[in-house]
Amino acid sequence: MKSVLKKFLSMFITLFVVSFLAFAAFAVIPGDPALMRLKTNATPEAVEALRHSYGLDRPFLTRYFSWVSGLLMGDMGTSYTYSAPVSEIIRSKLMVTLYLTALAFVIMTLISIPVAVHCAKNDGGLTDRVISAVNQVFMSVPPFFAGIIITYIFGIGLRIFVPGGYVPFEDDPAGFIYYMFFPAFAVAIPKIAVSVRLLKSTIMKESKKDYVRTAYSRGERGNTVLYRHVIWNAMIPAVTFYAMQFVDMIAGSIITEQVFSIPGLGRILLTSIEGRDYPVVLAVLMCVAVAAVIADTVSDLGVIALDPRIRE
Amino acid sequence: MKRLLKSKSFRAGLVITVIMVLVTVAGYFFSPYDPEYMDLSLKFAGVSPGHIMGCDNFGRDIFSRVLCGCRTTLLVATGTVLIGCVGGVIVGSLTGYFGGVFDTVVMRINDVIFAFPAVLIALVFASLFGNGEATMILALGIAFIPSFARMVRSEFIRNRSLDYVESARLQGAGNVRIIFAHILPNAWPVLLQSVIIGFNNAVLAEAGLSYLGIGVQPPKASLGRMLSDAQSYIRISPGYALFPGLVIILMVLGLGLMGRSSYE
Repeated sequence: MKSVLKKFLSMFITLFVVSFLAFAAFAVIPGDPALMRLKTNATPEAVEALRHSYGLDRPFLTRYFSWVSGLLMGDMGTSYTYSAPVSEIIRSKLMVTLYLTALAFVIMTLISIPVAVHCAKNDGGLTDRVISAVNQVFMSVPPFFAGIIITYIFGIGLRIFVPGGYVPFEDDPAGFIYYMFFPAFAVAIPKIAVSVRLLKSTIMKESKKDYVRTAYSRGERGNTVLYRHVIWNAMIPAVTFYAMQFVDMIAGSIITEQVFSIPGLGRILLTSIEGRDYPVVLAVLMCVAVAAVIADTVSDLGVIALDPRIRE
Repeated sequence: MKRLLKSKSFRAGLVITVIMVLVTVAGYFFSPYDPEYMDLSLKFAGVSPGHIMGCDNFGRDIFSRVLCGCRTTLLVATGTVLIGCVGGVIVGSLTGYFGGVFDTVVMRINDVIFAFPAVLIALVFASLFGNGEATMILALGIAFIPSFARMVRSEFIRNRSLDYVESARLQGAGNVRIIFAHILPNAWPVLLQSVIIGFNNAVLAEAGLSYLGIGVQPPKASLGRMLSDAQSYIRISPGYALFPGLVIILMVLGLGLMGRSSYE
């Protein structure tokens, strides 16, 4: 219980550090957002007025604390470009990216675990060798290139889906998942390859341990030992790994969205980077930070749940 | 190193990587065509002996552009790994060697950066310092410091209480000497492995960023940018997308094969 509390505490400290570092980075860079918005021929009074409306004339720490307290209330500030609340602009887009990442994660887990178990059982066999060779290649495919290939084969060649097509989740959940499946698959491909390899090697390592021999010597059958003991223990290191993959897949999704023209965080992030719309960039950054920290904490809790030795 | 060369996959990876680097370097001196020269009569020309990868939407030779893109990729990857490695060695050796509050604070910040995907950090940097190759190298380099720092730190923690460090200290060696002359050489094998994996990740990150339009600016060629251009013409000219993509895969594959056998 104590370790669980500790995890939550460290989660908040991490988020605090992230928010401070990110805010400071955007505060110290040269260039006045108000001046950039108004171009050079603006009167000093107009610039000053805009600075005031952005709140840029207050001292750094005041700005930071008002921004953080806003964040805690779900207020992410106002976009410079759209003059609209940032939370309104990014909410739906954040959900799209998270759905895409979650779907990719599910695909990765559903495929990688059985394949890894199969490879570990038949280590050195024909299928294992073929899979491990294919794996090495798939691991090297950037997700956006996988997306282009998938568009070409399934979209243009086989006509299974319409490239660039999209329906919002609220309108048609089934259609949404149908359009998201191929992009999610593209994001998942390299990750499937990496996790099959990792999982296989942890299962192999685990099955060489003494307790496995003991289980065999008690007369348990191979499959029982594998499914009741080995896989669960091999999952302990894998859980941490999977959490890292999830965070990585957020970045993969942001890039792959561009291939399939999915209206997620990618597009808004790119346009606000170009337009130096700092409140939006900061907000996206914080959203990813929160997702990363939650994934990390969940995986830590998963490890605690799976491993009684660190539960004290 | 000898043990590594015995491994089949390491040798395969090394061969692929060396060929890629050689072709890239050779391309700098003997590019078949000017990568930015447009010949509209050759728009979407197919694969031919004169243009072994065909031509793009402006009639530019794809092979020459791929060579140019490889150069950019290698340059960015080298810069990234260099910054990441030097920074990681400094951070990792100091925290691992001295420990204490300093270690706790620095590693906390380290973990925070580590938690972010490198591509995202580079995007934020691009919005802070503007778009360009130098920004990208700096951003990716900083994003890569934590993974190096972690590796080096754990090596230092393992080594700092060993007998040879103790005897060096008894002989009067200072902290700096112990860190750089005694412990660091022992961390080489681990560092080599991180460098290979770092290259692998840097190539992928560069490709992703230039696909998004961050980094090298047109008309200069980059593999990712070629892919994003090619995507609009994929019905007419699939080869335009295929070749740059395959080149990225080959680069990553070579490094990946080397990296894999270095920790097996």
